[in-house]
Amino acid sequence: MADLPDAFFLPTHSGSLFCLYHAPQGPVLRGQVLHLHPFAEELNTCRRISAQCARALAAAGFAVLQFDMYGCGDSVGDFGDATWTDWLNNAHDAQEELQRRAGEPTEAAPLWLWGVRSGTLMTADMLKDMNVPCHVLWWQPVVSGQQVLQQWLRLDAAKEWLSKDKERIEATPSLSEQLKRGQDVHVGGYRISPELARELNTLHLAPSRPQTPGQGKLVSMDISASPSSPPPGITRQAQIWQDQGWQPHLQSVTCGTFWQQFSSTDPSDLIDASLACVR
Amino acid sequence: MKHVLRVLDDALHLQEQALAFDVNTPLLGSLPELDSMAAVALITGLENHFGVTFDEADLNADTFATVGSLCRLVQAYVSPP
Repeated sequence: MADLPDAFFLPTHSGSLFCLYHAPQGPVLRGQVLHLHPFAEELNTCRRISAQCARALAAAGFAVLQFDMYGCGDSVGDFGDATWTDWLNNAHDAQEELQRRAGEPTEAAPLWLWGVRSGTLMTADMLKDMNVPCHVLWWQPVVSGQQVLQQWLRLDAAKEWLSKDKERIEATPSLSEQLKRGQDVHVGGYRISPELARELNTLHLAPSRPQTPGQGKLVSMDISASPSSPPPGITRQAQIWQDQGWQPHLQSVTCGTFWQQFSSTDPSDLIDASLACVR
Repeated sequence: MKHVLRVLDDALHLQEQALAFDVNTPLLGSLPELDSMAAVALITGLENHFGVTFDEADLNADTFATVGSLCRLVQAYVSPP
């Protein structure tokens, strides 16, 4: 039976961040993986399957660090006070902690940034300040921060799309209007600050700097309940990364769309495919 | 349309039923799975899949009327006139 992960709080400038370190099993260290979680409710819906994959990676010889960013999960702070800049700093702090435990990444045991959903935007943003070479793994990527924000705000707007009462719709100032006026908004149990909204609107899933050709792998898992091919949106994105020297590998896996709701989906195919790509 | 049906099937957890829908299949009012949460999952899924961002003004009850109206929305963004 695999060892239990080491649970601890990492002191950072933001405060204490909850971390789970999965030590690599077996005699050979194959690499190190930093998990970058999605935000708001998707952190909760993805937690079980991310943890399952982290354990599988550790069993295969990878050192894996999962951590909750400021105001998220079991870490200090309130989601409504968090900014993207805080989260980016948290991610770099966590990467340093992973390196402290697992050692300097090498060609034989490289670093992977593993982004899930909106966490994929963090992989792209981290690269601009990374001083060690790394590869990137995405699970069901999101192409822009604007999409993330809209998805949250739409939880409120959607009931109006499905209604035919147009007068009522026009009478209420939209949440995006309130954010533009500098007011916090509340959606689906989360407070979103105008600062976070402003930062999200500037984020894109684009490589922030060119990569030495042949050095960086980009693996993207497209997840669907029925067999399919990689979607055109991600295929276009991968081309941009390829033009910047990255080696993209897009793969479709059959698995329930677990980030949309709590489910008992069996993620075996997704985990097996991810392991096969990072090995 | 195949792509739209796949995203619809995933978003509404229809277990491949949606793959057999045609342009005239009614959605809003006929498909009990299409509530506001599912509508967000559907619209976000389409945006991610096609790499586009819909204008809020284009999202209303008419958009969700049938498979055909949903396809027209996507078409307008994927290949603008």
